[in-house]
Amino acid sequence: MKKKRKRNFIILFLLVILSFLLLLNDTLTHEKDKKTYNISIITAGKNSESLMIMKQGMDQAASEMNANISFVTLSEDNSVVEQTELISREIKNKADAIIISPIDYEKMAEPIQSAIKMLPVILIESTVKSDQVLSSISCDNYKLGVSLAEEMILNGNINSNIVIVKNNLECSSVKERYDGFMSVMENTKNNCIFLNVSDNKQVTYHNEAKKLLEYNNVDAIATFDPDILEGVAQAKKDISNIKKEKASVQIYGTGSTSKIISFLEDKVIDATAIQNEFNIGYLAVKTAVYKINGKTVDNVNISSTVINTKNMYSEENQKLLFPFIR
Amino acid sequence: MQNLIKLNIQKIVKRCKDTSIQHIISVSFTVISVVGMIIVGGALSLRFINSTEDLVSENNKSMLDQVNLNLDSYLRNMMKVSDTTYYSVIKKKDLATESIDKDMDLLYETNKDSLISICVFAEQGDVVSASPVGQLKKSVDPRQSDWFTKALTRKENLHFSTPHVQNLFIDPDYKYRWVVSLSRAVELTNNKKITSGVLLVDINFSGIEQICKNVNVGKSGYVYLVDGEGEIIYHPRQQLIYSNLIEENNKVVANYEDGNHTETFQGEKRVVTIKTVGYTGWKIVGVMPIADITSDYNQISLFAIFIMFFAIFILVFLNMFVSSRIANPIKALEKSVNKLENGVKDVDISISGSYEIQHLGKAIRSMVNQMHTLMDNIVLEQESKRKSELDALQAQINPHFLYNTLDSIIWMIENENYDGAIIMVTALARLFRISLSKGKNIITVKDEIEHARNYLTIQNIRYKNKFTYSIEADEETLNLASIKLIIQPLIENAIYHGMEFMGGDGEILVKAYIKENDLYIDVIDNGLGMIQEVADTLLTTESKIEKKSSGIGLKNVNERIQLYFGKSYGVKIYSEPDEGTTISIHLPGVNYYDIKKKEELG
Repeated sequence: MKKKRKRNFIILFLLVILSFLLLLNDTLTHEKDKKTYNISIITAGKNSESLMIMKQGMDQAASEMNANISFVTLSEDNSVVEQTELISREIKNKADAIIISPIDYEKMAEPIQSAIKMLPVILIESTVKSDQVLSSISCDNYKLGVSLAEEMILNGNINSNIVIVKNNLECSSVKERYDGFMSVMENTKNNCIFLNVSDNKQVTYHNEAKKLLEYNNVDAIATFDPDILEGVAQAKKDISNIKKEKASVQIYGTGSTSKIISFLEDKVIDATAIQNEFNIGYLAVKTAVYKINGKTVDNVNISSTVINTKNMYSEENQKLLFPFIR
Repeated sequence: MQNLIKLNIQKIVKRCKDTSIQHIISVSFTVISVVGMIIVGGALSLRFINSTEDLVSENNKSMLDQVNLNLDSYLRNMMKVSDTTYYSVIKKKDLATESIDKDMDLLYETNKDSLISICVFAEQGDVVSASPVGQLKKSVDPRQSDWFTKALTRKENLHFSTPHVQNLFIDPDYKYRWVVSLSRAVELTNNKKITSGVLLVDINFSGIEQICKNVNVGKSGYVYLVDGEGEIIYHPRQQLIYSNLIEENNKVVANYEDGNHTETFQGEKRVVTIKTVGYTGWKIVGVMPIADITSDYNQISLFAIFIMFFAIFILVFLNMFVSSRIANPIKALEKSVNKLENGVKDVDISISGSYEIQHLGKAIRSMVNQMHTLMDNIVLEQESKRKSELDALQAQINPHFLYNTLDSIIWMIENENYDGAIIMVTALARLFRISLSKGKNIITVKDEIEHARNYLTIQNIRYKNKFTYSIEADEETLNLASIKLIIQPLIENAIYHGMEFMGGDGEILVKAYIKENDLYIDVIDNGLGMIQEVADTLLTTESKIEKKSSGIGLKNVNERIQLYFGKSYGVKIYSEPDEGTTISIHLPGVNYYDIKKKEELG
């Protein structure tokens, strides 16, 4: 009887101690709950201005979700080899997740596929060829191209000579924009002239554009790359100082660097299609953190708008074009 | 159902009644302490929750007051810039003759950190003066701006705009800054003619941001700023709201009064504290999710519950310990008393526990001891009493009988019957010798029979041969042990009750024989006899001792035999009316000399 009671007492005591330890453990782990995530972002090109807005979105998400962000840029634009190397380097550096803007729809497919097996990979802006459902954050690039083309038609280009600058079509986002643009153009009587630019240097863009403007009878130019847009716009501005008639050449493109905006304000560029890059950055990091924790995220559509000189200071577009500088 | 409950209650009550003192103490103490603990714990936690909520809302209020103070002084500063520009620069100078650029530059320089630009516009939208100097963009018409129209339509006020991108001047770096515009209508003196214009002070948005940014409301709370219509001026996640990634309850909040409000927004309960900023009509909104407060509660209540459990555990243990300390001595005492009740001898009464119980134990122990000594004394007394009684009984034989006998002898001598007198005296002398027998109680059968013979001789003479007698003793019986004076009383009985009325043909036979190793001595008479039922009562009831008799009744003989040899021996009476009576003495067949030896050894 006495022995039994003693044993009961000891068992009870042990239970109390155990519960105390559990409680303590609970409190301690509660503090540790805030884990930091290392997320690497591999961009498609050199650190250009358009990336700054996206980076702000990423920073915002990172500060909210306690993530460490390392921004990795390529030393030269559109280098498949370099981007592949960077993926393996970041995996080696023990990143928890990788956010990547793939530069080639086909060539980047294989390295990204193999990376997905090791850690969450989130694609931004462009995608790669894959049977799997990849988590990608981008706007509807096809629709963006369509909108840009429609804006062009709205501005009276029904029977015009339009130069379309083709560049970097291996990248899915550019390709989709191009496809969207062309789907509208095919239904018009516009005469499309294609110009292939392969070299990646800003000066080349400028010179090629100058040549194009000077010697051809061009009514409008369309491009799907911010850098080329800047080059073309600069060329137009330079030439129109000499030849006034060239000022009527319309320029359409994508991107929202401050240079593009100022060209837009000066009516050098007629319209630019922009996507909400802040959101892309924010959602990419958010998705990455969710994926690390094994949660699922709904695919969110990123809005895109075509902005022209008139509507650029509207309440909505103002917020889209000029993010707060923190 | 009710019956069932009643039954159960009765059961419990019954059980309570039957339980031990330890059980009652430990259970009731535990129940009381647990109930007390829960009440105190609950009250404390309720109090704690209430006070933290109060504290938190007070905290939020004072925090917002601080923000308000900072913001107010900041905005006042800006208004002061505007005032100074207007009253001490613009009003004092005639623009046609004097330039105000220098003064404007000075003002701009001193407030460079918080300002983007100070400009004066004419009514037509032309720039009169601007600092820093800038070229107005061709595409921009100030007259279409909100701040311009507002300033001119409501001239007496200063107007604060919502944040917007400053796009008036050409910037070589293509920089677009977010500003809050402070505009007012001014009167410009131009060539002594007064025209109206607009003074614009663009406040750097980051100044406002700085004030609100580092305010911490709770763990995950934040502060944001809306204007009178609920348009967001500052929000820590402003860009996200602009991008429609998250939403804020700003439109609803604009209608709230100052103070604390509780609202549920997007399924999250939160405390919203509002403070209206003077003059601008802006509202500072502090938002704190309730979860911030309650997450602490959970931790604390978990901890409290644990502490409560621990305390209860300790209490239960303590109660058990205390109750056992109280109850165990009582239990031990009870156990020993129980033993005592069951007649166990030499019980060691336990003395332990508290003073009272020790005292109780001691009292019981001394009581038991006293009882034991009393009992022993009683036994001893009883024994000695019986002995003395015996002695007295034996002594009683003599005087009456002696008187009668001596009377008979005297009578014989007077009648000169000397032979008879000699026989009588001889018999009497013998009788007394055996009767004395040196004070011994046990004598041989031979002596006892001799004694009976002498007695019979005397009585026969006295009763003038009213009866005849004979004695038959087996040879082997003679050396056996007998108790002194057991036959004589029986003969006496036989003579008095049987022979007196016989008139000469009475017979008395004394017979000693051995049967089944036991000694039997029978006294047989042919007197009146009696019914067997009466005979049976003789041994149990105290028969009246008649004066004439020697005083020793049958009962005494029986008792004496039983006292010496045990209950299985004694006297038996067989009688039949008109036939006679046989009184049979049953004794163990023990040799007298064996007993003597034993006594000597003992």
